[in-house]
Amino acid sequence: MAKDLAGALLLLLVAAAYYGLARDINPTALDDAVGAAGIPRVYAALGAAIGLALAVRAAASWKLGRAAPRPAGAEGRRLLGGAAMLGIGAAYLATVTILGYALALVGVMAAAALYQGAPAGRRLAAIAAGGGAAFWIFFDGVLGLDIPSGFWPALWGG
Amino acid sequence: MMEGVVDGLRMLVTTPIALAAAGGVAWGILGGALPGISPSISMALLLPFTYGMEPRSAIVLLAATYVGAEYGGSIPAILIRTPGTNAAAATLLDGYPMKLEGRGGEALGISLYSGVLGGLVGLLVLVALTRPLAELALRFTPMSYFALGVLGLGVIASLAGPSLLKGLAAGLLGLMVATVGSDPVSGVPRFTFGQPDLLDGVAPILVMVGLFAVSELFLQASQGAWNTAPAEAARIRWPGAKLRRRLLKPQLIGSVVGAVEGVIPGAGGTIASFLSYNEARRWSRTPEEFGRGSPEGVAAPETANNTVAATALVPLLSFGIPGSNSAAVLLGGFLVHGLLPGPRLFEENADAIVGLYTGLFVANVSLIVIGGAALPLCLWLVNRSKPILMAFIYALILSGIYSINGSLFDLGLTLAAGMAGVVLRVLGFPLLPVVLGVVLGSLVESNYRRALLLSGGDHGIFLEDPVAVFLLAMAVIVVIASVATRVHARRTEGHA
Repeated sequence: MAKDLAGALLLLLVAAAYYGLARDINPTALDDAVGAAGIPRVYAALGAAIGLALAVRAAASWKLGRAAPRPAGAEGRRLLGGAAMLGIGAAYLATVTILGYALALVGVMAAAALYQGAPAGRRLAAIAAGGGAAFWIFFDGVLGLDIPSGFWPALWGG
Repeated sequence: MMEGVVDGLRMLVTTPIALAAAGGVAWGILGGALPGISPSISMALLLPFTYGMEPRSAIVLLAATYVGAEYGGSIPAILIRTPGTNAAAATLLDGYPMKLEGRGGEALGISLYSGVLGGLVGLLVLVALTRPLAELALRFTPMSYFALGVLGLGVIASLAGPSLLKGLAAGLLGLMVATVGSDPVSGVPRFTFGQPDLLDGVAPILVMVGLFAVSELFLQASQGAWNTAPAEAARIRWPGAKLRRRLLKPQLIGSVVGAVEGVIPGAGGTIASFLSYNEARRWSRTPEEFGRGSPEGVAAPETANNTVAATALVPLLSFGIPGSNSAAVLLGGFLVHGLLPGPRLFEENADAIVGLYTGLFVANVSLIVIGGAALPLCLWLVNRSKPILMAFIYALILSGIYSINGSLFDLGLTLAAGMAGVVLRVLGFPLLPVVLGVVLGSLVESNYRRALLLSGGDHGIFLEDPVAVFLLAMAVIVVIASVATRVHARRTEGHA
């Protein structure tokens, strides 16, 4: 099955990278018999073993023709949707200290709604702006959190 | 016992737990009513906001959300044939046909009435079982704690879903995440990439919110809109005396099934709902009505899944092992406040337990009022534009996670965990084992190494501790039983 095979490859990759990083953990005079790298090395070996077992199982079911038919592109669409939403979150992280919390959040809400099919227009802009203001009032005004203010204080001469 | 009741009553007056219980129920109903937002997601969305709260109120808020969400899930199941939670899928079988016959309000009333009864029965079971089990765990040594962690990881075998290998892989990924940070013995940084933010490790709360809430939000982006509900359906009709008598048997069945299934880690509300539905049909005088709008078909699963909302906390409170997604998020709530569920909690923070029991009682009672009052708001929410609703939930997550430590790094970690959750779900890996690995990883490693320090590196020390031997044997039995069940199911499938 393609999903099993992809999962197996991913696990093998993670186990290999994890093992590589575990090897870089330096021993110290405070180490016990197991050492700081001991358990991580066991986990890496287990990861490789499970990854191999998954790969063998995937190959066996492919050979036996048991692999279930997969709706073309459905999983790709789910991954793509996830990646797009992650991108919106990453853009928020990159801009929040510049634009400030409220404005960056307006951008997130507008982008997330647009991506999911909300029609662009004044209504969406108003909802996103209202949402940004409501969140700002709650987190800054009510909860008093130290939220990123961005360029706004400089604009008011702060 | 009486002392606990008095303490609980005092807490109702001196702390805001009654308010937290009512607030949690209301939030849970709204979350549960939105298709795709499961009880654990509703709880995970709330988790960051509990950070600054008084610990008992925070725990009650989360537990009450679980209670409310189990009822909330039945609202779209009955009205728009879309279960708000997995457990509500069984309610749909008769709830929706009742709605088609113009008895939607009656179905909602039965769901609410049965849910409250189930919740109260579950609470009684929780109170009766948790303390004795926790007292047993009070004798634990580092060896026993290691063995307890291994038993917790063994539970992964029953939580793994269709593929045991994928469940194990998911658990292992969680264990790997748990090794990030300073080594528990020498203090050497591991897998921190020079980031000071990672020296204390990856907080379970970030993993939980990422895996449960963010991944669901990300996956919803590629799914279509849900159905809308008629506004005139917003009236609950309570069952009359005759109907209440008829519902007694399915409610009893639901309570028993829910109590048993809830205590078993991994079984959960969905299995309990379907099992009780099936049993209620088998024992019914009118089995032919099931699937065509039988009130008994609504009562049994609703009683069962609300019973589970309380009994699923038995393994968490006694041993610190979360047996379901919602229990895992509740565990996150405990950890956020520096409380570690398990035997010591009863000794060191008994008031947190009393507060939880009191809060659950208030939550179930207040469900009667809030369940009816929140219905119009639920319908309004379900009928909103899904993209706008999801955009607000995204903003809520971003703001909530930031509010914990004021850290954009934490926010990045949570989003990364969310995307990892998407990849894992798309590839068919279960998420709960990852959380179990993250939560139990340090317990297993630190106690394993502590035990070896005590014995000078001799592994025989684990066999000298009777509790450790018992728990390790239990872990082996759990794994073997789970594998045997899978093999049996596969053979049965093959013969069919």
